[in-house]
Amino acid sequence: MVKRQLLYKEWKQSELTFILVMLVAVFATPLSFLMGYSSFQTCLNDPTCTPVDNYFYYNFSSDIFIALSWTMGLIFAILQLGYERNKGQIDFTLSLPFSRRTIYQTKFFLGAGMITLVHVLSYALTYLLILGIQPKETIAFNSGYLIALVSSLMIYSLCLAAGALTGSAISQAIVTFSTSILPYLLIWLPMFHLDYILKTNRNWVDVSYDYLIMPIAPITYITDRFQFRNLVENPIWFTGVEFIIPIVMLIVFYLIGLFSFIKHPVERNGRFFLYPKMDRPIQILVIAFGVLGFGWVGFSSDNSMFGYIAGMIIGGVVGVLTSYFLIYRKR
Amino acid sequence: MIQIQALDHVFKIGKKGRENEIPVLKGIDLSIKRGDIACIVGRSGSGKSTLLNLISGYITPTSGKIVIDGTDVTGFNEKQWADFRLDHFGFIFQSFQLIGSLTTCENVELPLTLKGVKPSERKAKVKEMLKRVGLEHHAGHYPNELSGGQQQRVSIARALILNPSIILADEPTGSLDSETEGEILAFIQQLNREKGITFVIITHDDEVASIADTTFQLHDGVLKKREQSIEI
Repeated sequence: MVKRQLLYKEWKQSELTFILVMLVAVFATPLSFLMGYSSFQTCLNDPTCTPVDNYFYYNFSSDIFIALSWTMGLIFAILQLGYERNKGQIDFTLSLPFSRRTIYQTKFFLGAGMITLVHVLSYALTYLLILGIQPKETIAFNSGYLIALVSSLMIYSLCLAAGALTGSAISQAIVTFSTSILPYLLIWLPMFHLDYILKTNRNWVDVSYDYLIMPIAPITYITDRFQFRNLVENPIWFTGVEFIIPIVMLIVFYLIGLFSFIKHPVERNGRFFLYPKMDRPIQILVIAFGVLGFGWVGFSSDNSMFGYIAGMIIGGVVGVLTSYFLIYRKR
Repeated sequence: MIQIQALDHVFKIGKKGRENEIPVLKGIDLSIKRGDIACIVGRSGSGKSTLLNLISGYITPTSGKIVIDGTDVTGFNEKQWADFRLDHFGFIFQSFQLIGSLTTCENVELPLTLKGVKPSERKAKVKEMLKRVGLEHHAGHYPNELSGGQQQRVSIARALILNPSIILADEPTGSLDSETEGEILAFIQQLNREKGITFVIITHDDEVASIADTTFQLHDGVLKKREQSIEI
C-alpha cells in the first residue's frame, strides 16, 4: 500500500532532479514538433530551399523524446534506490515506521506516476499544437506515446528491481543493462556456437532470433520498438506484441523487485549483489558470456578456428577479471 | 528495558543444502536498563551492526530471544516491527542522513509528517525541539549550510521528535572531529539525564564508550560486559 507521507519524503529526497528531468521530458516533443514546423515554414518562404514534401507532417516514431523517454525510467529508479544506497540514506528509509513492502510500493508509485504524468502532459501539449498547426499527417502519434509510456514503465520496473537486488547505483545500472540483453546472452550466443560447431544452415538461428529472442529481450522495446509495425497496414495503432509483452515484463519485474526488497539483507550495501547467493552463479555466467561472446567476435574477425579459440581464451580472462572486480570488490 | 537471551545469528553462504554457516553472533546475553547509556564496542566486523540491526528488527535472529519494554519482539512480522519502531525507537546515523532539499526545521519535522501529525502541532513541537538542541537560529538552513556537529544535532532532534524511549545510534560521532565529538557526547548525556532516554550506541571509539553506564565488548561474535568504563 502506498503512503502519502512517505511519498512526500521520497519526492523531497530527489526533488530538484525529478523536476528538472520532468521539465525537459514534458517539453521535448512539443518543442521538437514546433521546430519541425518552423523549419518547414522557413523552407517554404525561402526560394533557395526545396522542401522534400509539399505539406507538413510529423513522424512520432522517430521523435527524440519518444525514442529516449525510457531513460527517464532509468534515472528515476537509480535515484530512488542505487543513489540512495550510495549516500547511505537507505538505512534512514528502512528505519522509518513503514514496512518494506510499503516503502517499495511507494517508491514504485512515485516513479511510475511521474513517468505517466510526463507522457500525459507531453501528449496533451503536442495534441494542442497539432490542433493549432493542423499538419497533414501525424504518424504514430497515439501509438508512439502509448508504447513509449509502456516501455518506459517497463524499464523503470526493471531498473527498480535491479536496485532491490544490488548494493550501489553502478551495479544497479549494470544489472539493468545485462537483464535487458539477457536473452541474447543466454539463448542467442549458445545458439550461434551450436550452429558453428554443428555446421547447420543457420536458418533455425535466424528464426529463433526473430520470433523468440527479440520479443523476450527488454532492450527490443526501447531500441526497436517500431520494428513490428507495418505503418501501411496499421498507421495509427499498435500491434499486440510491442504492447502486451512489455506490460507482462513490467508486472514480472515489479514482483521480483518487491519480493527482493522485502527480503534483502541490510548489511551488504556497497556490495554488487545484496544476496550473497547470487555472487557465484552470476560470476560463472559472466565468465561463460565472456568466453562465448569473445569467441564469436574472434570468429567473426577472420572466420577461422584460430580466431574462435583465441577469442574464447581472451573472453575467459576478461570474464574472470570483470566478474571478480564487479562482484567481489566492495565499492 | 532491552533484554537479549541466548541470541545467535548465522549468515549462510553457498548453495542450498550445502551452505556454509558463518556465525556472526554467538550466545549473546544482554540486559540494558531503562535510562541507561549502553555502548557496544568492537572492531570492524565484530558483529556490532548486526546486533543493532537485530535490536531494531531489520533482520531476524537465527535463534534466541529479544524483549524490549516487556514485549517479546523475536517473532514480530514486518508490520508489527514498523508499528513498534514508531512507538519505541529513534535512530541516529554516522552520516546524519538528513535530506538535502529540506531545511533543518523540515528535517526535524519529517517523522511527525510521516506519522500524520497536524501541521500546527508539528510546528510547535519542532520549534520546541530546535530550541532544546540549540538550533533555533538555524531553522531555515539546509544541511549543507551547517557544520558536521550541527547536522548531527539536527539528526538527534529528528530522532527525538516522536519521544522514543530508546535511541539506537550507529557510530554517532564517526564523521566528526574530536572537539565536535565531545560536544555531541555531552549533549547525549544531557538528554539522557533530562529525559531519561535509553541510548544504545554502537562504536569502535573508547572515548564514546566513556560516557556509557554500561559497556559491552563484542569480539568475534561473543559479547562480554566491561566491568568499568574507560576514563579518557
